Amino acid sequence: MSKVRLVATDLEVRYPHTDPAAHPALRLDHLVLGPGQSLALVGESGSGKTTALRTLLGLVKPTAGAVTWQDRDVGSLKGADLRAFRTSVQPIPQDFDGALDPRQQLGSAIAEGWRAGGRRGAEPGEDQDVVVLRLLDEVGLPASAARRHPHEVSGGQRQRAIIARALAVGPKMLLLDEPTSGLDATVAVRILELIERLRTERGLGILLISHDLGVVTWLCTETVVLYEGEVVELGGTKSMLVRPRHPYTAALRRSVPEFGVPFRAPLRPSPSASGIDPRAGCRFGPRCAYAQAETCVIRQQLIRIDGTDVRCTRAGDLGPLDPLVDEPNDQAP
Amino acid sequence: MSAATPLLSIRDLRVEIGGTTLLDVDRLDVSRGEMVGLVGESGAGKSLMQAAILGVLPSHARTSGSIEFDGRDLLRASVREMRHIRGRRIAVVLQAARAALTPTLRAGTWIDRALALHDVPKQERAARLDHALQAVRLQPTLLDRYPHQLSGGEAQRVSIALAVALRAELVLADEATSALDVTVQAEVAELFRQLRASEGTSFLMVSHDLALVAGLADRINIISRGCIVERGGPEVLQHPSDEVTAALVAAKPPLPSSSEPLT
Amino acid sequence: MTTAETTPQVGATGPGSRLRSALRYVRDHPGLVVAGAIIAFIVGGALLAPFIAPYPDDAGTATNMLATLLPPNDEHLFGTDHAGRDVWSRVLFGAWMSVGTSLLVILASLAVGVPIGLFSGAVGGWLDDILMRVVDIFLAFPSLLLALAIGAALGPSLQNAAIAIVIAWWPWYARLMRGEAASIRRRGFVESGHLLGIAPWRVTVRHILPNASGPVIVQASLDLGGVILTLAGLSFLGLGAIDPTPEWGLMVQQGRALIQTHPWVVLVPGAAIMLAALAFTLLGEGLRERLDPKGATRR
Repeated sequence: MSKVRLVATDLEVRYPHTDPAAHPALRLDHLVLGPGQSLALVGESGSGKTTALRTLLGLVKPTAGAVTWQDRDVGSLKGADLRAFRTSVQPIPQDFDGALDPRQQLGSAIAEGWRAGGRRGAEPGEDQDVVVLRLLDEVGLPASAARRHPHEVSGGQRQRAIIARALAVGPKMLLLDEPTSGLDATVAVRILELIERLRTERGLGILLISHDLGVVTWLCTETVVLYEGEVVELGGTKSMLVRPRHPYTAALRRSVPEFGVPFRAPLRPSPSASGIDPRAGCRFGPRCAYAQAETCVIRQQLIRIDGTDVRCTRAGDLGPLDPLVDEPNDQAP
Repeated sequence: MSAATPLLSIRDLRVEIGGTTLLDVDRLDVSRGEMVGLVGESGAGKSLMQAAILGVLPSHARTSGSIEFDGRDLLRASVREMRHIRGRRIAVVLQAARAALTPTLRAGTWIDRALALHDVPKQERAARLDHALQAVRLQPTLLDRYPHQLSGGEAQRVSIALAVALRAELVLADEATSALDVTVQAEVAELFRQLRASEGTSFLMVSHDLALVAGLADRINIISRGCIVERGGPEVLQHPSDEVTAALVAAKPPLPSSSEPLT
Repeated sequence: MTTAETTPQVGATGPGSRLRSALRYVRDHPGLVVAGAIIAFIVGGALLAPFIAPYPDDAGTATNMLATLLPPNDEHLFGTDHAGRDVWSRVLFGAWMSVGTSLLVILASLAVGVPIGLFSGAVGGWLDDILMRVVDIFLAFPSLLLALAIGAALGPSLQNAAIAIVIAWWPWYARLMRGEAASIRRRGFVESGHLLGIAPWRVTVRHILPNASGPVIVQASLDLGGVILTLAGLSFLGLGAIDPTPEWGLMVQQGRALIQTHPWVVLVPGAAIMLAALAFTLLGEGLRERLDPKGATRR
């Protein structure tokens, strides 16, 4: 059981034909996903979260480091071993409209997945139709959905169908890429409830990629915050969002609109911020309300403070930040 | 509340397409310098309403009612009048920020051409552009870039700069921040607020993001199936009288705050 | 523009409404209706020729030197040609020759071009490059000239003309199919299929092929008109069908010198070619609207 893990170590990913002097698309020091775990990768555009997902799936070869599944290097898997990995680690893609063949009925798509995955989970004598119905029920779709085409059902139902198809191959891990973006709020909540139920009922490991902090808090106990290809903070989700250690995490938390709360203008970058070169020093520097010339013009390293990893030289001085206060509120002298 | 006539005043607007009534709005007002929100789920009629205001409904649509803008009924205005209003007095900021710009023109050229098309005399254009850049806090170096070289937030600022340069009185922000990163969204939303203060621009913020609009707008209208089902100030969300509103409020998973115990 | 909730209003049910909706269809799709009528006519003619042609032997080797070049009269609907053969009968049998052969030519071109294009587009890489360079070589020649050259090399006969056209035509379908396949390959559901562990060939045939076929089908139906013209052209130039085959193009060629004195010999088969080409082009355009809204076809 302890071997059923997806691990990334010292991962570095650079895309071909990019400037070698520029920073890599992604650097991930260490990531572990085990059964029943729920981990979030949070970041905005350019953060590297999509690269992380594709590398974990083995679709992108890292330029350094490795992704291992059950202690075997994913990049070296071939043939039956590769297929076993594929069925064990299933993505739920962001573009769920494009992920289904528009000409194929949903039931047929699920059945196809089931056959490709080795026809798991069927009692002896059960045929394809029974399995499909069972999966539809598990994700909360009516039996009639089996004969519908993707465009004949709503966005939320398409998402459920994709989840059903992924479940059909019997995965141990689900990697969800922005599973609720584009869905209305009421529909999104149902999808999250479904994912949580699947995690507890099937013991799945869940990796959630999102920019939406509300979604992440709901579902994931641990969070990794990415900014411009680097991990800036890593730790328990709730504590990180209530008292973030990294100014970017604080900015993220601050910018999320909330009911009953008037709009919070983003904190202005500090006077020293404009003098920081993101290529040589802290990447978040130019936007940071707490930037200081001496500490922030150099490359920042991950420091461990109180169970959280933070990539900020000033983190020890700043202390836990309150994202909801309208001024920089560090405790530094 | 100002006693003056609202800048935009919609009354009994009905839009029918193919025999089905898709929009049936009894009342919607935007006063000068006001930020008004229009929130609803997809398909509720938000886009249709904007199309009606701008006069770009499909030709087979049948409309009735009135849309008064500064005293003129837009539904009965001539093509010439609408061209004068559309883009200049009523500006639009779209969700797809880069797509609103012409891909083969540098940002600065694009603004200049648009100003020329709206009959701003050559001598004035430079001054207006300067003022707009300041108001929007856009670095002049970005004007030399092509749209594909701009980030989403930067492209959005360019669109807004044009609206400021044209001295638009009303900005229709059509999911203007939905495609942006949340931190960039906060920056653009803050920009709207500052423009309202400095230029007196009114905003009609159309969005599906109720929380964002509630934090920003002076008044909110909730639209569902073509009708306004709830209207009022942000407090309307604390005590919604309509189930659609209640559902929209309830659906957003709450974020942890400092008062909650940490697990 | 939101039209999410729009449902076209259904009129009252009843016999009158069926007629009304039929008339509305004609008004909305005039091209398809006209095309359909002409094609029905041609297909009918082709299939029923042996039964309804007044002088079926005239389509074969029969001649009647006593009745040459008669203008349209009671016995000969459209007169007779230089060998005394009934023009109308020959045109009827020509439908099968011209249109039927053209159809076979299209099908054969598809049979060659589509698999090559599909494979190339789905696989990508250097294999794709090599195949497409070969296709490029073919495409570098104007198709009519290429067909002419091959036809001349093979010798005149209807079969050889058909083969020549197939050789000239298949690369277009390969190129078109490859383009569509390459773009479909990038779509999410193809990657999903691979990630689920579905075998690549299966993904190609069951997912890429159906989604990529639209523009190819449209192009093929548009081409039918073009092939009819090309076949007629080859016969006209003496590189296709030879006497006494009642191929429309050949008939036009045979009557060409007589156009001022005995126009019906040329005009009737000529009109048939024109109508057939027109009909299939309209059909193709109509199909394009329904299957290929992006307008990927071009020629």
